[in-house]
Amino acid sequence: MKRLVAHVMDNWKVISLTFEIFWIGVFVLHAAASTGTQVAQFVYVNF
Amino acid sequence: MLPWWRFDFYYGAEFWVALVAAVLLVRVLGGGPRLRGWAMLACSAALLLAVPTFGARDLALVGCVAAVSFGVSRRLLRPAGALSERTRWVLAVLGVAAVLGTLVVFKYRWAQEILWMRRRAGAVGPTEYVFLVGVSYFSFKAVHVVVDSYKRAIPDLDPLAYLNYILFFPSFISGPIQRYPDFAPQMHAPRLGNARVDLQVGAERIVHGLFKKLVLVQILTPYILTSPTRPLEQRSFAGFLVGVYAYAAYAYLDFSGYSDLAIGSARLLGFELPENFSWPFLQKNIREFWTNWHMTLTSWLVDYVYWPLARKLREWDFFRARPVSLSVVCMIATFLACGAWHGESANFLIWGAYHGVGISILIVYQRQKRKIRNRGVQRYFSSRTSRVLGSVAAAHYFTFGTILFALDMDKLRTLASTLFH
Repeated sequence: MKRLVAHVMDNWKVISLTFEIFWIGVFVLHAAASTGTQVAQFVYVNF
Repeated sequence: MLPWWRFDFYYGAEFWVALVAAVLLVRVLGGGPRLRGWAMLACSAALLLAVPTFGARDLALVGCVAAVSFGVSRRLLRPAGALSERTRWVLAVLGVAAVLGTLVVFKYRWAQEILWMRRRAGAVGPTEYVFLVGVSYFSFKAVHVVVDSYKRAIPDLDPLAYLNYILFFPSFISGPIQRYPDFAPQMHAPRLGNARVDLQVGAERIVHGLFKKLVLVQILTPYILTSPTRPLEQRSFAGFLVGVYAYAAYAYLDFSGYSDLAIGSARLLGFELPENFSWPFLQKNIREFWTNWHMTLTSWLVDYVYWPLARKLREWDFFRARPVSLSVVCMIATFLACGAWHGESANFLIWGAYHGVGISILIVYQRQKRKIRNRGVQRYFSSRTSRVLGSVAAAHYFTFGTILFALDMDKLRTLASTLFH
């Protein structure tokens, strides 16, 4: 368990980036597949 | 502009293709600062013209504001004795008024209604309003340059660097609000930074921003207080609370995600933008919260609203003898300005006053805290428990304040009648 935690901590950046890229891919594909789904404009753009 | 050259910033494949082309152009031509400056300017103009609500006339208007603020600032930077102090003061006031005038006219409906109504009698149609994308952010930059030139806090102004500073496309629409003395040396640097490091750091930042915007914000959107799928009237009390917490998280993720995308894109081009967020929800009190939330706006408001007002009021004997009252008045005025900037309806002013009052209560509390001599109580104040409770209180103060931010006056009335009847 300790080795696993140490491994995760050592490679935290790669793991988190891979996780984020995977979910970005999933959400982009989902948005592309469902017609009419639009990403909302940034809240602060209107300010 | 070409009809196909239209896309929103930071999402959509077209923007990313255009960004890669800009990075290649700026980095390939980036051998010398002059050529890089022109390449950067061409890229900023081209990408801004792609924004659906931004056209050539808007670009020309921004150019005019830049020209006026640059001309005024250059005169203010003339050697001491070239202009009298009175003339310098009048010039600075006129420069700031011209920039803020543009901001007011192109940001607020009421200002346009006054102008339009004067030209012809009759009501203003909803399509007749003209808003200028990025007007707040380039106005803040221009005001900073004029005021700091008046104070001689800026050593020199270069026209190409200044135009790039105003039009810099990654931060044009919604910041971060960089200061000219941070930007100009990057533009004048003989060489850009290490391309490999810039590309790696920039790309990582963009991934973080896209994750917040495209994943976390999309998950939260159906639950937020303003979600059209869950109207306020149909929410239970628990549903309302979920909406409040979701809205606070949504506002943070949406804007810090945007800031990540702006900072990352600038880094790809070889430029460093200032940070806008630094774990605001973990800060020990509401003042620290604001120091770490939309940091570049907060520091702008402190430098150009809070301190000028405090210096002016300190000239009065009443406030010189009462420093706490001085801080409280200036803090409330600063947050009222912050609220008025966020929107023109009354709920934004109430939201600003809410935060001004919150920080004022904190100022008074901290002053009273220092007077307590009991060691046990003092030990508690410096303990981890006190810090954690402070963070929880600050986060909740901000979170519940978003109700005033998210709901206009009609919806606030609906909410009040639902909660208290």
